[in-house]
Amino acid sequence: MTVDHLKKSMQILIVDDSPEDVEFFRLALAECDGEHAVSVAQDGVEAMERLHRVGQFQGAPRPDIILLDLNMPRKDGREVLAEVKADPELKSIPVIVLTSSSSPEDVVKMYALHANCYITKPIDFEKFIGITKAIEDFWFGIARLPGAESSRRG
Amino acid sequence: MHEKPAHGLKVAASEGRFEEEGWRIRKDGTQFWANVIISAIRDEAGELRGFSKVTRDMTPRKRSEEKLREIATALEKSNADLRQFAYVASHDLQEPLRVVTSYVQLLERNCKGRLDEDADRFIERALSGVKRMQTLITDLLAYARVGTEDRKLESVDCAIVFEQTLANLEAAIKESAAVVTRSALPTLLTNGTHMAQLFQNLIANAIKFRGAGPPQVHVAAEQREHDWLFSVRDNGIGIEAQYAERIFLIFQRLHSRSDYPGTGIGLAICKKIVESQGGRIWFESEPGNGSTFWFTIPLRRLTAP
Repeated sequence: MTVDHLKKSMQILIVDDSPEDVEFFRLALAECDGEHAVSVAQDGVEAMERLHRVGQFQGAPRPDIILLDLNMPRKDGREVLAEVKADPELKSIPVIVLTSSSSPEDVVKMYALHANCYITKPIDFEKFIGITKAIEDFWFGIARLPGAESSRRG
Repeated sequence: MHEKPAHGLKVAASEGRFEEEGWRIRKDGTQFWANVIISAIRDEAGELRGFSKVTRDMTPRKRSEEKLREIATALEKSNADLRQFAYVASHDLQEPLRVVTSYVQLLERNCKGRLDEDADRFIERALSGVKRMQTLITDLLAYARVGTEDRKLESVDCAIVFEQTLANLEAAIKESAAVVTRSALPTLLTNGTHMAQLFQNLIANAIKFRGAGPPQVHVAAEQREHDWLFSVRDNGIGIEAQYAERIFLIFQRLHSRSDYPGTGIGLAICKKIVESQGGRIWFESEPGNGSTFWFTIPLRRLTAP
């Protein structure tokens, strides 16, 4: 790959209530080239606490990118996305919606809420690896993200 | 019931006639649904002489109208519930299945060859089972979506839809050396996605259920008084008449999976599409001598002037 040398080490926040999907993502990420730090929020409430560094999450790192599931208890991905994109501090963090929903309404609605990308969770692990590698190639390699730029400056 | 005869008389006096419907009370105190017509009676000079009032008991009609409306509402609700059920069930069923598939795949990746032969075979069988389940659920979702999706009508050139279908089926056509031809096809006011699904399913079936020789498929359309009659004719294995109904039911199959793979969704989707447009679908066939599938699309005219 020509983009390999550009690959950065990313701080990833994955927001997903399914421990299996989190495990699949970690395992798939292990098959990728870069070394990335993953933190996990089990639902939208925890995601917002991490992002706002509330209480026990005071030292939580600011993610370079958020992987967001849609259907979760307490606060779902739609609410998280709306809050993140309405928050001047957070709205520049790219949000990749990664959900089992393939409904056209969800796709349209999430982009209307300023999702940066919408991906339907693949039906099996082999495809999950493919998608994770594609995310790494594009989002961590080809694309330049605001988080990495400011830390470079800082 | 309170009547306002003054109002009725006023209207009848100025317009010649007044009509209204409403609940009234009979002399015995029971209610009835009345149709009341008050007409002005004028003499030759046009002077108002009086009024005639005809009250008819329309209770049975009113009751059957109400009953019909209740049934329609209940049907609409049960249809909506059914759509919602199929949609949610499909999504929620996918979730655990994805987990099972992925873990069995992980087992295969990490442990294959390190267990015994039986274990490897079990993993393979488990994977093929969940894959089949996934296909069934995807198909169920596709079936449930017909009718919930965008139903907008547009001008559709069926010749273009035909060409696109051939492009989609390129692999199957090449592999089977099929010859797919068409007569002149119309441009109609219908739903483009639906037409594409109809052509795709019927032509794909015609190729799939082929006889010994290369498949020959012909698509034609003919305008009739109230509809367009489409036909998809093939020279395939044919279908016995006893399956006329069953073949259009969801997940009903006439052959074993090893002979002809598939879940049995295609014709069920076709039937749902055609019926949602107010048409009909059926087939004529002689086993061993090919089949012709027919469907109708009612004529619609653009309402714009």
